[in-house]
Amino acid sequence: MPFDSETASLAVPPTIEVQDLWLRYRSSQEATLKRTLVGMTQRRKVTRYVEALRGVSFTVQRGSVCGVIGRNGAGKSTLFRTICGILTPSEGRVVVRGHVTPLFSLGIGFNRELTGRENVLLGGLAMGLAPEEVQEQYQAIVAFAELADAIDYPMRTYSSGMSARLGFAVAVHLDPEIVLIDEALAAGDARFKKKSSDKISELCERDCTVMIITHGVRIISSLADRCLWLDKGRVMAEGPAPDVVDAYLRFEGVLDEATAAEDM
Amino acid sequence: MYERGSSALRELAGARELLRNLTSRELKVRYKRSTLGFLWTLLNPLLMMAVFTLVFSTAFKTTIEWFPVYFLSGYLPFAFFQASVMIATGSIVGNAGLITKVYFPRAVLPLSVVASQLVHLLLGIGVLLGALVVLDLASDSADFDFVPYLPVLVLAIVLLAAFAMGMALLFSAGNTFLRDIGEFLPVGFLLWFYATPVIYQVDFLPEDWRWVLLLNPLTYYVQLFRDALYDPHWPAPATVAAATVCAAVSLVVGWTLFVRLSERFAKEV
Ligand SMILES: Nc1ncnc2c1ncn2[C@@H]1O[C@H](COP(=O)(O)OP(=O)(O)O)[C@@H](O)[C@H]1O
Ligand SMILES: [Mg+2]
Repeated sequence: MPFDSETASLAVPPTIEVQDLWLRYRSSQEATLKRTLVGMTQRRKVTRYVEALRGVSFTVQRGSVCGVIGRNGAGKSTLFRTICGILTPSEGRVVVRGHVTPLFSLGIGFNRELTGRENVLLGGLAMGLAPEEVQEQYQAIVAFAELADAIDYPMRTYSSGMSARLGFAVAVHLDPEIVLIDEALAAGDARFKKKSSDKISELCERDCTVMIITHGVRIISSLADRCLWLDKGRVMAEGPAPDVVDAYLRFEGVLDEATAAEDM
Repeated sequence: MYERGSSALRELAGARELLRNLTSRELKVRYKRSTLGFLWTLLNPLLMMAVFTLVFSTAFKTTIEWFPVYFLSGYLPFAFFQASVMIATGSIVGNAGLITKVYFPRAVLPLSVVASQLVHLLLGIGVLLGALVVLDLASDSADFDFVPYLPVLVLAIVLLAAFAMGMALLFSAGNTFLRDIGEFLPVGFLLWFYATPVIYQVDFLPEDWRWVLLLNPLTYYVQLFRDALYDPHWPAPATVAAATVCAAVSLVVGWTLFVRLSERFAKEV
């Protein structure tokens, strides 16, 4: 079910529209002069190409929550990076109507030598916000992340849970139109997971479009309207979240949903 | 947020705040752990000057008048260029954390390095100007009447900064795909230093070797700084023309290649 004609025919154009997207990584060993020369003289290939996405198509409607599931290496993070514009499609088309706030697995650790505070500002500016816009939300971000004093220490001193919380707090407070969340919920403790899923529901009520990658299928079932299942760079299924999650669990042979849910 | 598909230059203009933030961070981080901190910006060229003056007045018996002034008016622009390019070269690879997580105009990374080095250059020149005023007053034989020629100084700084930006863009993009560039640079710049008339005068070189200086763009920029500071007079039109052409070519080539290659940075870092 690569293209959902039912939703595409609605009058409002979809917020995210991906058409026949291919993404190829050039997976070389470090491209040094020596290896390059050796490769040339011995006519041996030093580069390998990895097709991380092979003809992916789907749409996400405004204000909806779309879960993305699949094994490790399925191409989920690659898909998100392409939607944010970090990666350029090798082939195909990505149309995004609105401003994307990306959020990646280990939070906003842009520069681990900088303090949490400096990272928040740097990240905000890199996302194209004005310094005042970041400043305005700064207190709320720190409060939500529950970091207290740690905010003025270098991020290399943070636990992965702490940087994930900060990353999540930044993404949801910078007044996003579209948020992409890549396994960010995985690192928080149980209480923070609850708090962040509440926050996501709140964003959805505000007309915000959310895409979320997680191994926690229970989160998908409770939060997402629709779900996209990727495997080896292809779309296996796209549709109402419970159906896709079901198909995924059956395919993986993890029928016991509780086992899979613990992974989250 | 940067609209994709809008022109790369317009995107860059929209990232002014990010550029400013990165520049001030660059300035702060550099001296964070040293006791003398920012003073090193001024101490470094002065110490270099002391060393070269000592060597050249004892071992080599230089005939260049006011050698310390001659040296600094060439060394400050050279050091600015060298530091800009060398630090910028690692700026894409060194910011992998940012590049793989957010989309923003990548050019702000090398350009913020050049901007922060420009601050160091301006401080150094400020000190040199102060020293020239003192020398002019204290010594009868000294004649450093640079004030009427300040436009030459401004022109020299603008053209050199443009040349350095182009080279910083070129080297930072190139180094992302061929890391050997960063390794080669220390030796490369040592050669470049001796191929630039910083510690000698052009006519010290045998005729057979002058072509090296003519092919080296830095010769023209150093000459412009000397025209403004060491021996204040209006520069030869040929020097201005050569410096302008080199700056324009460097900017156009550096920017074009950078924009073309930057699409692939996130896959390579
Ligand atoms: N920078 C890269 N260079 C080369 N190959 C990569 C790179 N990033 C990811 N890949 C490959 O692309 C595929 C998809 O990766 P990814 O999108 O991270 O998967 P997921 O997030 O679903 O676990 C994997 O096979 C991975 O090895
Ligand atoms: Mg991933």
